[in-house]
Amino acid sequence: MTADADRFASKVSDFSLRGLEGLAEEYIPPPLGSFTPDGSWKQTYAMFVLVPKGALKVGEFSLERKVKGSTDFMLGVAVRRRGNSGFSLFQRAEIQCNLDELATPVSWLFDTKLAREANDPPYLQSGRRRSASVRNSVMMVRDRLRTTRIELDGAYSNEWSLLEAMQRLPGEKTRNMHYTLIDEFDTPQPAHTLTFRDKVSVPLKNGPATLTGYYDLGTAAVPTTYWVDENHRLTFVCSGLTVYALNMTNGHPGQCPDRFSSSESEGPQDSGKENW
Amino acid sequence: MPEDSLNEPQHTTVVPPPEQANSAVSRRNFLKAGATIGGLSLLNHPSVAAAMNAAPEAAKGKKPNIVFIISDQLNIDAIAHFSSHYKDPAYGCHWVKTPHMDRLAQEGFSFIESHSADPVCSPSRSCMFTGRMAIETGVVMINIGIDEHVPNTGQWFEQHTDYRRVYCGKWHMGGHWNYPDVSGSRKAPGFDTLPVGGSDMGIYTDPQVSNSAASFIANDHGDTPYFLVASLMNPHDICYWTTELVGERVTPGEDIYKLGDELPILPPNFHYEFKEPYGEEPYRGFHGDTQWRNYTYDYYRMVEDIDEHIGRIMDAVRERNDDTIVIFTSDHGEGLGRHQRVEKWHPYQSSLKVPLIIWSPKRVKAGILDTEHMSSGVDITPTLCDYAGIEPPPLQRGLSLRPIVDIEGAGSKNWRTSIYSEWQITGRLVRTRKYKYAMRYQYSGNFEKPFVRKSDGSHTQFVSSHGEDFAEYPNALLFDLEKDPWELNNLAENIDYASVVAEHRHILRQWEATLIPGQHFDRN
Repeated sequence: MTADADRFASKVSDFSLRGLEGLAEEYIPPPLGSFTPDGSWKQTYAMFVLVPKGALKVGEFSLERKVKGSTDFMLGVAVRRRGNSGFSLFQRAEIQCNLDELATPVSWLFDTKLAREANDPPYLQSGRRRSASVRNSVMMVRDRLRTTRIELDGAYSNEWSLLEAMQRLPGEKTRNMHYTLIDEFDTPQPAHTLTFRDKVSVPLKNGPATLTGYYDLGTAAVPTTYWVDENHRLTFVCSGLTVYALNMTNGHPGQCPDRFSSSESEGPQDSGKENW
Repeated sequence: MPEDSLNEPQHTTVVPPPEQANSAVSRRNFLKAGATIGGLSLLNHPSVAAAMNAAPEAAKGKKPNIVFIISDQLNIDAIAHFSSHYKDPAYGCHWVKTPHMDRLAQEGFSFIESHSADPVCSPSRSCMFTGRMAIETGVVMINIGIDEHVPNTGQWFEQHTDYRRVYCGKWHMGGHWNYPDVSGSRKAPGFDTLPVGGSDMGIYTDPQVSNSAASFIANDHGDTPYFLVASLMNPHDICYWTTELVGERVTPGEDIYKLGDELPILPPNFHYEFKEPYGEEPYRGFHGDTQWRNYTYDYYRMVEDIDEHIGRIMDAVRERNDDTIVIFTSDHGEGLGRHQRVEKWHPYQSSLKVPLIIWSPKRVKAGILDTEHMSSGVDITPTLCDYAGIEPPPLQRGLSLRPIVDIEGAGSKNWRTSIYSEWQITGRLVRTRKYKYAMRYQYSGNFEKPFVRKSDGSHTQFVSSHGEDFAEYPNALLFDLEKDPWELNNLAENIDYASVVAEHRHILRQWEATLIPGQHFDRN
């Protein structure tokens, strides 16, 4: 990506914020409470997927940050992606992260399963637990039978610890960061670039909010924008058909609808093909 | 991390014993009857019912596990490893990083001349899972269930093997739903379900598919082999990049990413000049070349995303290091600006060609990019049955690929010389080694039963001789794919090619005469 963000900032902002249309009108962020970016906190997010008539809430996840030492911290991740028949995909992880710009993950334990509820047993052999660690640019992913060795090139992060990192970045002073994104805890996707993008005012239900955006481009992901509020809370993530919205901070809920529609989208229209 | 129930006993799939019913009607005689008589009435003929329930040749010995991975809307040229074949820089292989599909191809057997049997999601899938053409399964458009008289591979395996059959991901052949439930009217017939879904968007559902399928594979210790389908949704999400569907909310309006030379170039056939069959026209929703290139850029990121999911599943397969067959394909391709098209539906190569890779270190030749054998989606079912050691269901339109790909395969001296595909419900095409001929019948307007009945309501085969409902639209297509791989020169009206057109129409008519139209059966 070129470094001329300022030249196209306004148009970029307009485009990336389209995913939030409809949501913003109904959305009230959670109260700040005792949140500080580098302290211990727990954030919960709603996961939306844009569909032709608007957006649906299809899951949720939480991030729980625990201060550990002066150079690292622990990040707990719990994800629920709702599926069919009342089942969901549950993913959990405990990640040890370095206290740096990318919240670089050093080691993590993660599991996945399909189940009706978080404490139910896995359905149909769908449960699995693995661990991973990185030493000297080598990621080792361990299953009960095998260890996989994957070499990393340079800086790296993963999709979840990156969400924590956003809340500590210095806004427009953020330098462009080139890194490898470890997706779904086990797969490195190279050639990502994270950069400051813009500062915008977004009208929310309880008044306008000033949001600072960071922009990510790279392998295997359509462009993603992370928006943090004036208190450095990651509030929205927009990426193609996906929107994440902060709906709870340290147990204090905001107001986030289960579905929303866009003023620009009034449902599917003829695609140019006969409607088959 | 707190201990959870992951260590508790896992569910197991209960599979009824294979049926041992016998039939007085041999499959050979049955197929002969189907080929020479045709007609919908055969489906209700006692011989058909008997053959449907007949026990094929008993499976002998230990059979391989089978993993069938499906992507949705993946162009064959969007796999980096195929750059040695697709050398033009406009092909997708030059714009993506796909290490996992590359490895699958390096270790497996890739069919380069691989075709969708009907380049739309539901019809194509019905062909893959039955070995019949879409007009026979009844799934001539999306959101229709497979004709209840036509068994899918799950049902067939259930009847005739001891395979445990598990489905995970997009099904789209049960009516107005895409992802099967574990039970009830929205269950995929013949399969147990790893229930995923929540939306019809791959970005959300594919992680569920790959994690669940990989976990199933890693955990399995069954006494009988499994047949697992991992059906990924992407890069189908690109459908929602077209402005008509979601306003301009998702699709960039200009070079929003400022990627410059990183934006893929437009294909050589972006501009073209020839008359097209009815219903075929360029997409008009984008404004300028850059928006097309942004669309293409995002599509390739989705391709890279499913590459990750395929890698996760394949890691679990490799970890087992046992006797497992992996078949990987897509239901259809993506227009991606070729002939200024988006999505699928079209008779062009962009919609029609799909990747098809068969992998098994213990059984299948490695590292082959086969350009000799033309294959079709209807070959999937007979191939699956071949590996399972059973005869396929009656009236198969495809062929087992096993003689071609197996290390000790018998070869293919008499392999087919043409491929037949359907498109846009009334479109038909035939592909030979050198040419592709495509035409389209007129649409009768009777949507419910447009192709299985004459205007008087009686059953009919869908051929042009059956009345005005099936007259042809003008503007057929004929391309010389050897000289014109980008399909820029339509030769259908060129008098020098009249004999080629006649020959291909004859092939097409012969093929159509064998088909037995199905009845639409919308399960929900």
